[in-house]
Amino acid sequence: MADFGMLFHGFTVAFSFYHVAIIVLGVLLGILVGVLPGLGAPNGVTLLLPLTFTMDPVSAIILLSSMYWGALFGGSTTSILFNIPGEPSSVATTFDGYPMAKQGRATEALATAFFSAGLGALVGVIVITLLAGWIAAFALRFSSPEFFAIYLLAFCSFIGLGGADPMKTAISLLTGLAFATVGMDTVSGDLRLTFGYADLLRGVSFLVAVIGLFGIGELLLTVQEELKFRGVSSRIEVREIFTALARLPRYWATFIRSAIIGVWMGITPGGPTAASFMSYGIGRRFGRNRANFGRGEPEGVVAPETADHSAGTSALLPMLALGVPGSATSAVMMGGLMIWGLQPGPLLFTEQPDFVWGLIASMYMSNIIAVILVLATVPLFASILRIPFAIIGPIIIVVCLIGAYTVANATFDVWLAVAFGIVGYVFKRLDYPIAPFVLAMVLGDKAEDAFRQSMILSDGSLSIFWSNNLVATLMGLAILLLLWPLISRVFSVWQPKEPDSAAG
Amino acid sequence: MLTRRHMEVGTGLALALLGAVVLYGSTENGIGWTDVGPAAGYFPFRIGLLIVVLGVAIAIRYALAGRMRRPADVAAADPSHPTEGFAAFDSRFLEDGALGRIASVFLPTAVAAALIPWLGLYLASVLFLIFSMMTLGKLPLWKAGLISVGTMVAFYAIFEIWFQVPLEKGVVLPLLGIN
Repeated sequence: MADFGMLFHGFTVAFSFYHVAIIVLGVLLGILVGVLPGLGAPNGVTLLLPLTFTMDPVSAIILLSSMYWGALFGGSTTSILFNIPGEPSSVATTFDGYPMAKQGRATEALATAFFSAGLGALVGVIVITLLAGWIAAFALRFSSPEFFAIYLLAFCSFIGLGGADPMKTAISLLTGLAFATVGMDTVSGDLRLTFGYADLLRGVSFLVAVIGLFGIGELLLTVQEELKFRGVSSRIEVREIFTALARLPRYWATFIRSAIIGVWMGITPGGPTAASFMSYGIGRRFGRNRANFGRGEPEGVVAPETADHSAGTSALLPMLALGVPGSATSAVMMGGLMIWGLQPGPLLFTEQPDFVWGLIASMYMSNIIAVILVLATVPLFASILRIPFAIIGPIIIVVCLIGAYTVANATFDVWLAVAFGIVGYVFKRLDYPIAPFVLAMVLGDKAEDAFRQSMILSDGSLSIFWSNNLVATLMGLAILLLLWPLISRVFSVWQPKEPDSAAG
Repeated sequence: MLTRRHMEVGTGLALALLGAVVLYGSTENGIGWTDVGPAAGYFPFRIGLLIVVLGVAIAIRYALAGRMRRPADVAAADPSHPTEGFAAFDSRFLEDGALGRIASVFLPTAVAAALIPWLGLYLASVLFLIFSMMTLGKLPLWKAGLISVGTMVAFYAIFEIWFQVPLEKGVVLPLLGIN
């Protein structure tokens, strides 16, 4: 267990006044985007990313990941107080959180949510600590065919396990792959799919796509639904916090079950949204207080919150160790890694131990800081939501426009983001999942490179993907997952489909 | 009347068209084998092909699907529209006034984005904010103006001064002496 030595080293990197300040800033910004409608973890991180280009990579990733945790927490605040999920992954928290708040138990609901979320996140980080180095060492044996198989596995598990319509998931993925090929080809230097437009030479940045799809698209959806805030009292009573904390151990079984679901869904690209729904569903079926679910049952808050956060954190495991992100937000972070000049994947552990273990250590710190901060700032952020939408909505749009511009200092990108906004709106209305699109845009080049290198190795024969046990197993798993919707329909072992991971 | 079915079929066909564009574009790079391995269009061509096939398949499926989807499916597939699952495919895609509400946000956004090369980000944003706050929230001009200008001054401070990231100034701002 040399990893604990590395973790200790990580703490020496992460534990400084500067980094703690960055964590606090990141968490607060994260809560803000988590609370605001139309802004969420994926595009919050996207908007912040261009500002980190000049930062040291360790500090940059700590800032972005802290923002991610903050956003996950912020999403729960609005779910409980306003019955409006600030994040898709906190939808399941509204089912019992809001009824609790309406009964005057807002503090208890919030404290229960935050503490179980914090514990869930810690489970996720511990899993990363234990497994990341081991998986990375294993992945060092991979060459191009194995990497292509891993990417294919990630894509296929979205299609097979994502829960949305498999055809729509597949076309969303493929469209992302197509957009990823626009611009200069890294291997041959040829210009692809630019059709003579100079603005397309740089390619289409996934950051611009995320800002449009998640930011502007989400906002159009909000406008169409005529969002009205019906908030309950957001006063926090300190005594209630400790009562809730004392009651938490009662839910240990729910907690363990939810954490396992969360970690599993985080590592496989199911994402936090699917994890929280699944955990809530299972809790409603098997929980001790299942009869009370939906009527303000704390157990119904513990289940989705624990799973949501353990999925959110463990989504970083495949990103770090394999270079395959487990959620839309971690896909954006991985894109950031590449922009900072780091290569995500197994080599990262040997070449950049400071970065990897600094990040992992910071995850312990930032989640603890986040629990305290989010409790302390509930009244502040609740009051932000009371600002009329006519003021906050247009400002969010301006933030998106500026964010799109800062990606490459190009006005064309702003127009592109606006266009992606319409696409995002239509996709969301028609239940096309967006996370696979983002994942494909981030992984597209790497997947294509791995594919082309494999083809060169084998002189154009697809048999290379069956040439040894490892790659054959990975390919077999990928194909199994791809066909899973068909298989499960034939056997109908899987009852109602899992909710989607559209934006997890 | 625009129904959900129209939108489903239209989106499927639009995606298929996009796939066709990818197909056409990739043929310009060569889709076969070269001396150094697969040509640049090899991968995009196959992706484009799959998109065309899937897009057409989606369009056909939704054109033919005469039944209602099970409510549970739709509610599960998109948590943000739990009620939609109970409506048939041939229900209206946009309720009364929804198109107007969307347009009232989207059109000003598009206009503001289009004006950036001339007015720059800051000025275009100020005008967009004032316009939106007055039309969406019926704020008086002085209040909308105060909030808008205050917001953009704050952004100016954050980007130009703190992070040293210059944003587009357009043609007009430099004339006013702001660079």
